[in-house]
Amino acid sequence: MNELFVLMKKDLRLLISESYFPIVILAIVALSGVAAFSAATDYSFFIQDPPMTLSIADKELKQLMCLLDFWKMVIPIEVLILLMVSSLTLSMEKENGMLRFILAYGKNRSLIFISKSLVVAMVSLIAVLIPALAFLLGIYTMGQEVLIDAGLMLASAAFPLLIMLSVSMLGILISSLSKKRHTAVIIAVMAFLVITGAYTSALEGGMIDASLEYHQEHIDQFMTNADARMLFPEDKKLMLLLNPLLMQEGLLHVLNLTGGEMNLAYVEAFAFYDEATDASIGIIMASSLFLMGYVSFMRYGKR
Amino acid sequence: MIQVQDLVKTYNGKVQAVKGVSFQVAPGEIFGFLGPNGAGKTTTVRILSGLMDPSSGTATVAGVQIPGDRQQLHRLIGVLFENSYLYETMTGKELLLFFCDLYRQPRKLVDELLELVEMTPKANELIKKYSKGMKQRLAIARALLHGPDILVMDEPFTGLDPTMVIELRDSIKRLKGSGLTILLSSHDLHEVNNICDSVVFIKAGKVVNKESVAECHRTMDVQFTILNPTPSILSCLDGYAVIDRSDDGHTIVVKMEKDEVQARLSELVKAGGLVQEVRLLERSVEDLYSELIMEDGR
Repeated sequence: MNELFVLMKKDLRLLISESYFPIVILAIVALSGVAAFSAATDYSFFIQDPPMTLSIADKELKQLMCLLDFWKMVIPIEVLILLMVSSLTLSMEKENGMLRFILAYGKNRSLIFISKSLVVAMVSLIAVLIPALAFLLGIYTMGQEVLIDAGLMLASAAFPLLIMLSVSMLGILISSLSKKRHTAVIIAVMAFLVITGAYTSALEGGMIDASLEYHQEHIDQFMTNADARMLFPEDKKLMLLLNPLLMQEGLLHVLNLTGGEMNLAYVEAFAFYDEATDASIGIIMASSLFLMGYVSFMRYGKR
Repeated sequence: MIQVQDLVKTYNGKVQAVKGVSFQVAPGEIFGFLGPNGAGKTTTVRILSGLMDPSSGTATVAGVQIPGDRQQLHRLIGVLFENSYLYETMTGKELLLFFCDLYRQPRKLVDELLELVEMTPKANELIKKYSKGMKQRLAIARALLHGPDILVMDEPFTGLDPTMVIELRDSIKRLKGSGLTILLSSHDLHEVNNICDSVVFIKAGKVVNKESVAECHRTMDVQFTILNPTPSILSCLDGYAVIDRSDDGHTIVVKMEKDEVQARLSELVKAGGLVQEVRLLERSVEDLYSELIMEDGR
């Protein structure tokens, strides 16, 4: 039997049997439920009490905006959950000595790491599929017609998945650097605070800086996305580029909410890069973090 | 099967845990590696298990040179530590099946090994519900999964209650005769006395002595109480090591082989000795330990 398959089977079995696993699934389901209910309620109120006569396209646009809000509510909390879960993967086995035991008996280090990463990637996938399903279910249970087709729904899940994969790989990196699980979880929570705090402060701070600079010369004019992109401070841009939450802007592209006058007032509608670049950044970020974790793990116990 | 020559291990270039240990273990033997805490037993066992390299000296384990090819070594030895190293959230059978698949061994072996360590009735229970003794027995089964020639056990009896000790001892005894060579590191003198064919004593990183248990049992302390201990009568006991002698000279304890006792007694009587009592004081591993480790330290 393939060694990787054997290791993955074991890792999955261990994950499922951990006491925290049902809590994690329950948390994801509850979070998805609350966010879906909120999005569906928002949509229902909009439909029932419309500000104007609504066309199908208007309803679809509103549903897409609700989906965007839905993901923005779900993503930060799932980032925290996944960081914590993935930070436990290696650190728990380090703490109870099993990792050293298995490594001592000539088992392939690379496969051990890949197995852990794949299991965490599977959790990331579940963490994205449950909310996607919850959103559709939320709209449906409110008696509304689901106007977003399955393809678009899945495409919208792609960027949250890239975020989840990136933070999972970050969690594994933390795990491969930590000897104790409590240390790993504490670092994971700190990483979460840094990620969310840095994202908000860099994006909002950068927009304020860009806006101030723009309005020095263009009084009484709206700053366009192109202007904001040009005037956005480089240091804050770099901070965003290194932040997995930046991939949220990919959602705007997928849901086609970036262009048009309607969205210019929203910071959320602002995107630095196009869809392909956002996807590339996500893939590069997840791969780099995976490689860093791998290198760190390959050095484990050899000193 | 195991040959250790002048093994030295120094930690951080300062603390010398093992100071030139040498000994040999014959194939099929259960070999006791005895010593107090901090004597260097675990360090030696870890070196012989390929978990760390010695600072100097060499060892050959099942034909594999140490330091050398660790993977080859790990194919030939099974290791059981004081900490069982088990996935506690798995069942005993699941754990063995995982290691069985990992070592690419036939899965039917799992049932055989569970039977060998008498864990079949508990095979489908979670390991976290096992007693420490049961965990140790399961760890033995796991250590034997890949068909090793040598089983290395480091302090397997530590922390076990008497029932668990008996069960574990029985499991180890069942392995005797299977051709497996067992290196048992322990400070449990009673169990070593019960199980081992040979023992080596280690103290402060050095081997103090090596004597087989059979050899230990062959010789014994014999206490003669002689009412007329004249020099000519006592000359019958010349050549034997005197262990103890009473102040009045009537009682003398000498070390001799069991089958010599009858002949020496006859000689004493022939020489006119009035022998009131002969007491055979069997020497155990505990006595050896007392002589080699404790006496030396006093």
